[in-house]
Amino acid sequence: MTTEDRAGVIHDIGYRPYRGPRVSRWGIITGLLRHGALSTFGFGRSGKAKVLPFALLVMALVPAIVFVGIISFLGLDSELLNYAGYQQVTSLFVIMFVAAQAPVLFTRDLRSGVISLYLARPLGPATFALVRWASLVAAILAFVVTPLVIMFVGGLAAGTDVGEELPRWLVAMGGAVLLAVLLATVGAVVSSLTTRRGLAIGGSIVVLLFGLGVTAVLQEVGNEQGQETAATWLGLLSPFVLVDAVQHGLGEATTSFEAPPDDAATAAGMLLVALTAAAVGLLLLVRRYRGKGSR
Amino acid sequence: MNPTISRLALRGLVGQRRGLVLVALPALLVLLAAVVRMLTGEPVSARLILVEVGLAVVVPLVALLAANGVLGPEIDDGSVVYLLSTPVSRYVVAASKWLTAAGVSVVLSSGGLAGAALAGGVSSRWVLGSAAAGAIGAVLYTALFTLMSAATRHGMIAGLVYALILERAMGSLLTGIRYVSVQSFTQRLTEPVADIDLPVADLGLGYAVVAAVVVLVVGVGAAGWRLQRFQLKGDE
Repeated sequence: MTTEDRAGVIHDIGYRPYRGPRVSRWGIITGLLRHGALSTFGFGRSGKAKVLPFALLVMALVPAIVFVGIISFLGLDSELLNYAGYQQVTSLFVIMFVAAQAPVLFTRDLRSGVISLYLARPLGPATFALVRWASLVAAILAFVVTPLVIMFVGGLAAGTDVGEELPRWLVAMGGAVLLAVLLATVGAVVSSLTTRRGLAIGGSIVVLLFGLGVTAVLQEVGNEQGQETAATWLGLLSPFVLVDAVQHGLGEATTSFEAPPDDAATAAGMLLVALTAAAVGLLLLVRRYRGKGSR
Repeated sequence: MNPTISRLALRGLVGQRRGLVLVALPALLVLLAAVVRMLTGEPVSARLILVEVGLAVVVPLVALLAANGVLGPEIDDGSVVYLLSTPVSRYVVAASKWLTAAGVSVVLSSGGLAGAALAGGVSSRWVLGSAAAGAIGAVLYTALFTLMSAATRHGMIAGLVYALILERAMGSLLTGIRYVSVQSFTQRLTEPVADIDLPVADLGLGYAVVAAVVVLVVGVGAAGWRLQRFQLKGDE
């Protein structure tokens, strides 16, 4: 045997690189966005994963359907359709949806370690975190907007006046967008900080539900003591109270809480502070993913 | 009871700053009572702070976090098989885990409620009563939630649905819920112990005692039974 024969031979066994179409950066973003928003509702996951989000959605829809039913059968006036106050009626379900579904997007890949594979892709940690956050916003928006749409369309079908209803409905829709942004930020930050699913759910519940209860109690006490301004600003402690305050101050919606702001300037100030807080939350989120990506 | 399992569970529950989340709730309750008292300058409404916020929200949530903290993460990442492969009866495993969860949440719940009662400046009968209610509630809730986290991977959500939707949201509308509500048992049992009036609908004391014992025994027992039939499953 000669030496040439013993040397290794590289056989071509037909491995081929991917030569198909590659999507752009924007394509990756939209794909990730869609995947995130859908998996929040359990699409693309097991049947069991769909039970909770849809059960909560159905429970959150019941009051809307009842209101529409009352209007169409009893012919009561459309004042019953309180769009702006609807999220306060179903706040428990909204909070549970956020708390239970935010860890789906923010805890699982951080815990299992696959995150470093994602972050090694062209998108990078900051964009990845922001896109995940955006998909949570989209999912929460779908959750809170559906009952409003049902009430609006159902009310129109039952003969309410479009000109009267539309402005009030649009104010509530604006409030819903603000609520979705704030809730998604809270859920995302809490779930990404703890890598244990149970703890993430519990943490979000504590912040959102307890925050709502404490704010309601403190506002009541503050009002009794004649500290209306302080009571109003305490609304910043809970996204629900804040959205209600902004809707009342800027959109003249009826309020569901004790201490709404009297003038538009206060409401605008509160909105500004809340958006700043949300931006800080997003910075924290991005920093968390940056730290994970560099490891 | 197996002291080693209890000790390890305790370390998993409060080690590495995880205890902070558990302590946060009772601490916030005490803070709330103190702030309300400072603002109004008079004793807080025991019914509002201690019962509506403390007993109805803080006690179940602390118990839920504790009961899930001792069992949930291990089942989640599959390391529970190493515990289950030891020659220890699964019932003993469940009971030891529950003991840790119950101990931690009794301390936090009754401490938090009593602290809030003291900070709020209510009568000493209420201080004693809220401590008793916190302890009774913590023991019962942890038994129930230990079972839930042994029975399903989504024990946290199951517990939340029970405590928030069934007991709180529906309990206020449908009075029949009181027959299956740990909250009502706790309140009914606390009334004679501490000699205070709680807003519990009429529920026989005998029924409450029997129901509480059933929750305790069935909760811990069924958790052990579930662990005997434990199967490892992937995430979804």
